Parts: sequence; C-alpha cells; structure tokens
Amino acid sequence: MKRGIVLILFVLLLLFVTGCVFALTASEILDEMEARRTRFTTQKTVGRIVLVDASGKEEAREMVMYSKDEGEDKVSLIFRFLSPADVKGVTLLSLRNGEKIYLYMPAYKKVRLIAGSSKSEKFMGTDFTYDDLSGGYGKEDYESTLKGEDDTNYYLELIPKKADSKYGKLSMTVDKEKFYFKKIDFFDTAGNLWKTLEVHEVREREDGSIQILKLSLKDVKENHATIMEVSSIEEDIPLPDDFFSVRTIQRPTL
Amino acid sequence: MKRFLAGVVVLLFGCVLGPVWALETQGNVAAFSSYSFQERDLDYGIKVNFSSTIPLDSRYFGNVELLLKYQDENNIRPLRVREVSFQGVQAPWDTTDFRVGLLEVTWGASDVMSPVDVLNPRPFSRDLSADVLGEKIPVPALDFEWYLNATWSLEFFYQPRFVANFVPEFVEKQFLLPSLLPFGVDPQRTNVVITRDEPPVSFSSPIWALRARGSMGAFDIALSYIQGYFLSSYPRKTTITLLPEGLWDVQVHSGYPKRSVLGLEFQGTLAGIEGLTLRGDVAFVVPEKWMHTVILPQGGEVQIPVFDTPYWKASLGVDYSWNNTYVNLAYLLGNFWEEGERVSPYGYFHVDWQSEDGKWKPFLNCVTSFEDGSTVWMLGTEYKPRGNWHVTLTYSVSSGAQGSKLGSVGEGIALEVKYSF
Repeated sequence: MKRGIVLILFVLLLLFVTGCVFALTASEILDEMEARRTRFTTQKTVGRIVLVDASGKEEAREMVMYSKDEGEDKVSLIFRFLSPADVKGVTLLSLRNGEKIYLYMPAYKKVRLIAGSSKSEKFMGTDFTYDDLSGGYGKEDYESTLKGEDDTNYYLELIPKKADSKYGKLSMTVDKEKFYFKKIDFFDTAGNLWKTLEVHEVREREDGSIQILKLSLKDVKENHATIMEVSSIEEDIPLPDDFFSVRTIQRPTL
Repeated sequence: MKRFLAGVVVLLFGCVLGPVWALETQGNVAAFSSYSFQERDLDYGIKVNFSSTIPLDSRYFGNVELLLKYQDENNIRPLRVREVSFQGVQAPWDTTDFRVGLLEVTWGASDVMSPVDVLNPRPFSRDLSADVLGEKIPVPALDFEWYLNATWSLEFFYQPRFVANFVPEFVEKQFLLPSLLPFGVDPQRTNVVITRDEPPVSFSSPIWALRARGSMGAFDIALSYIQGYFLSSYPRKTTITLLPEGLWDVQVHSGYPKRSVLGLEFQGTLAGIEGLTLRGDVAFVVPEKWMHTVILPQGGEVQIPVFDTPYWKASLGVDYSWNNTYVNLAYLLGNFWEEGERVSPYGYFHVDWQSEDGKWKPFLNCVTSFEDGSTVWMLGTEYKPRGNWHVTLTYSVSSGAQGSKLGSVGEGIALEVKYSF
C-alpha cells in the first residue's frame, strides 16, 4: 500500500516537474510562431478584400501583392488594387517595414510620398493601416506574458514597447498545435476593445509552416470590418533587385 | 439644342467605345453644373473619362485615354484625347522605360500649381477645382527614362511640335483691352483681330527637357531643365487705327516667347515630426526678351516690355494628416497664368476630414493673394453614397476689389455627380 502511494506521488511529481520543464513561456511561444511563419524570399499573393459596413453591406476589392523578405525582419511590399473601378491601379509601395511609403494613383500619374503618421491611417477604406500592411507584430515591439492556456490554445498578452503606440495592449490566442495566432484583440490605451483580428483559414505546408488564407479585421468601435481572402500564393518567384521601387509601381501591369 | 447635343455626345461615346469595351478599360462619367450668383449664369455639362491599356507583350503596352466632354460654353473641343501612347517598360533595355505618342506628363512634387509642371498646355476654365486644374492638353512627344539604379534616374523629354494653351478669344480680348485704355481706345467700340505666330518647333528644333530624380535620405528630389516656349501667347505688335465712324480697329500680332526653366522638386519627411510631409517645387524662368510695340493711331509707337529679366516661381507646401484629417498649407509664388512681372505671392490652405464610414469628406479650400488681399473660399463636401458613385458639392465665394487678383471669381455653387466604371 505504502509502495503504491509512493509510486503515485512519484508519478505526480514527475508530471509536475516535466510540466514545469516543458511549459512554454510567452517568449518561447512567439519564437515558435516565428519559426512556423512561412519563409520566403519573395512572394506574390492574389486575393480579395471585402469591406463590411455597419449595416452589413459588403464591397469587394481585388488585389495583388508582392512582398520580399529584406532580412533583419524587414519586409518590402507592393500592393495594387485590381478592382473596383474607382481604386483600380492604385498602388502602394512600402520599403523595409514602412521606412518609406509611396502611393501611386494612376489618375494623377504621380507618386506621392506618405508621411509618418499616415502609416497609422486606414489604407484605402479598409480597416488595415499602412503599418498593418507594412509588417507584422514582432516580438521586439511588445512585452509578452502568457495569461493562460487550455487544450487547444495559448492566451498571450502583448504590451507595446513604444510609448506612442495607438494600442494599450493586445490579447492573442495562439493555436497550440500549429502555432499561429487565431485571434488578436486590440485594446486602446484606455483599455477598451478596439479591433479584433481573426484567422479563419490556414494551410499547413510540408515543412510545418503556416500560411494564412483568410482573415478578418473588425473595428469594434466603428462597427466596420475587412475580410482578406487569398486565392493564390506563389513563393520565391524571381524578381529583379530593383522591383520594389517607385519605377515599378508606375507600370501598367505588375 | 444643348440637351440634344449632350445626348448625342453620350450616344457617340457608346458607339465609339462599344467595340473596345472588352479590353482592360476603366473610366468615369460625370455630370457637372455650376451657378454664378453675380452673373446669374448656369454652366453645365457632362464628361466621360475613358482609359484603356492594351498589353502587347510583357514589356510593351498601348495606352488610350479619352476625355469626351460637353459643356455649354468655352469648351476646347467635345472629344479630347488625353493620351494615346506606345509604352515600353524595361524596354528597349532593362534599365530604360519610354512612352511615345500624344502624352500627358506630370512633373513636380507639390500638390498645387506646380511651376515645373509646364510641359503640357491646359484648357481654359473659370473653375478652380483640383479636378479641372488637373486637366491638360496632350502633346506629341517622346518621354524616355534611364534608371541608373533603384533610386536614381535620368529622364529625357522630346517634343517636335508646339501645342499652346487653349484660351477662348473673348478671354484673350478681355485681358488685352484694358491694356489699350491708356491709348484712348474705347473697348465698347473696338474691333480686335488677333493673329498668332507659332514658334518654329520641329524634329530638328524640338522642345526638350531633362530631369534627374532620386532619393537622398528622407527626401526625394529632382532637378530639371526645360527648353521651350511659353504656352500662352503674348502680343508683339499692336496696330491701333481710328476708323472714320469713330470705331477703333486693333490688329494684334502675338507670339510665344522662348523660355528656359530650371526646376527643383522635393518631397520628404522630417525626423521627429510624424505625419508631416514637405513638398515643394521651385522654378527659375529665363524668358526671351519680349517687347510689345504699340503703333498709335496718331503715328509713333510705344514700347512696352513684357519679359525683360529672369524670375522665380514656386509652390512650397507642408501637409499633415491625423485621424482621417488632412491639412495642406502652401505658399505660391505665381499661379498657372502669371508670368514675368505679373508673378505675385499667394497663400493656399486646404483641410478635409473623412467620416469613419468613408462616405463623407467635407473640405475647405482657401486661396489668398498676398499682394492685394483678395481671397477665394471654397467650402464643400464629397459624398460616396454607394459603390462607384461620388457626389461633390462646392460653394465658393471671393472677396476683393474689382480688378484684384481673385475678387472677380465671385460667388457660386457647383455640383458634380460621378460614376466610375
């Protein structure tokens, strides 16, 4: 009997110790997410953006996006609307996570440099800011804490390191098995829920990395949402060195 | 009759463009009207903008942009070509792009009345809206750009035929007659005949321009040089004759003086001031010496200098955006129509705010002449009721003495309804 109790205690202790050893910290979860992030040098994405207003009315916009990993967690991208008519051909160039952002509007045949705070303005009526389109939410920009977990998810809290951030904190739900964020709640500096980003569809590639195929961003305050759906992705496509340039965004076709 | 003509224009549009509808096309249809409270005059019209790009292969394209415009008066012509061009991208070499054909070329970084954006002439308009101020007349030209690397390029522009601004003759006479008052001419009893000598522009003696542009830190800059002619005519010789019935006969010989324009463009941000962008264009204009000789009815002549010395023009602005609000403040030295000693300083202010649902965008524009204090205010809103529909309503009012720079704009209201396709 005594030996039985000792064995149970030993097993429980072992479980506790191994649990402590293998439980992931918030930082490790973010590292794992980073490791599962799709690796590419260059990428071409074709998809659709659906804007949903407060009354539920939808307006669809087709787009093509080219992106390039510049190293040091910097991404350059070119984003062009293919429809509808009033924004067709409008093209954004973001160099190295928005160090410089240019907008080309074919009607004016002119390339405009966009100022710093414009990066936090909404892009062409969507709920995404220029910053959102320019890069992700890197670990270096946030203090992270693991707030809990269950069978399927980790729950993280991210506090922006920048004092002038528009967000007070982010609550992130991370899939335990595939290590991608399923949902992020963005809170303003007063602690009120502002936006919710949800991932609806992903594809796990052979190397274990995760590609997001459909996500939505809802602005809770304005009761407005943007849904992004990817219809095709090509990776590591050959692009000339000077592709991400003002020259390219003035072309009739990309 | 006018309504009938408007209908014909729309039908014509359908017939002409129907067959090419299957191509990659886009454009818009806009109906516009404005009412002047002073003159109790209603102007109205309809315009169709249409553009199509025809990919010939991955590097060569055909571009067609048409503007079909009916307006009840002062229209240059109902069907205007905005651009018909053959375009090469990374062609004929990887480091070069070109366009050749009837071109619209936009130079300059500033948002308002760039003094370096003078390669294309412009149609006449009394309207001061950005949409109308942006209208240009295309020119036959080659625009060739050589990219030295990802940030620096050298552009060459070659134009073998001269094209002038479109100014209705009655407007030209309105400008001319006051200058003849000192010679005793009665504008009410005067017959004016204007003849214009076109400048000798040809394949071997073209209008040409060079522009080097690139990036330096947070600023994009460009340096340009244009060798060409003024796009509006200036009188060279005016002969005034007093006819026996007490009428005046005025024969005006006009021409287009030569000019060289050295330009600087820049746009950039300042570290530490987020949301702020500086944009500006500066032009140093060296005109041909131009003298207006007036032959007086009693014999003898008077020499009036039109262009004597080089002069500066500029548009220097700063814009700032935050929370869907956009503010633009600019200092203008000269407008599109002022040259030489007529160049005068203006202040420009614009603010707009976009509603959270993106449907409303109220705006305020203000232009003030620093020379005489005359001012134009434009207050309005853009409204996007659904999809591709845009409505713009503008109320404008001016202040200033008779004959001041902006006082004659008066009070009016304008409405435009646009559908993009």
